[in-house]
Amino acid sequence: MKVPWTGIWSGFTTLSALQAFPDLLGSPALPFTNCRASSQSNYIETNGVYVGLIVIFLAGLGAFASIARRSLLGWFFVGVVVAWVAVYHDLLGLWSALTHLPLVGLLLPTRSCQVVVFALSVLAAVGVDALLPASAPGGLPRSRGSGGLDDGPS
Amino acid sequence: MATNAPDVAANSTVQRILATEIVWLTTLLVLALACVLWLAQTASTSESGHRLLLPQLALVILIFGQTGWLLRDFNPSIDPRHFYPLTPALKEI
Repeated sequence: MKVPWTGIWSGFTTLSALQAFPDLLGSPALPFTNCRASSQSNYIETNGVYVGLIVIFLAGLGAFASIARRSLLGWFFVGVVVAWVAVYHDLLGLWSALTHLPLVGLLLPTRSCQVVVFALSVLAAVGVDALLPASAPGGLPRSRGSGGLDDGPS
Repeated sequence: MATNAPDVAANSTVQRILATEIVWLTTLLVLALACVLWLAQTASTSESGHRLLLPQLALVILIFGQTGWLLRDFNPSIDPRHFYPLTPALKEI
């Protein structure tokens, strides 16, 4: 099966449709699998970065809230996601340049999905937290910035 | 089990499975957006922990539905005929 989007938006958006619907190329839990049709070699490398659209939406909310709150934690994980995307997709030749460093050339970006999955999960939690009032159980105090998205007490 | 056939996407069973999954994931996304609105609405009108808990719990369930639930039929065990293959040579012995 030919993957139509690989030829159109190669690089940054390659296989991005799998972020929404991870089993488009099948899975080990289904009666068919055809992950070799992607540029990766197996299901884990093809879909290891999948977290679901809900988490991505909440992570976006969390990134927005982090910027609004000027939260160091949020900024750190936004930076992790941006850095991972740049390395994974070799934007501006970043990964190619890094591989000239000792030992770095031995690493495989396709096996680093846990990094971005963890960062997105934390950002999603920050996004949910931004919806809660500061006095709610688990709600973080709005120490700096605009006080989050809910205009609650700061 | 796995059929790496080139025309796998043309198979009607595959199309049915994919259509079901696309509807399932899209429905969960819509429900999650409704949950986020519900949470924001509840948070703006009430600071009671119990009232805030319900939409958060619903979000957790919906997120599991989009991720872990997809692998509900995944059986990582290996078929004995692959783990203990009986080759013709072994059969002769």
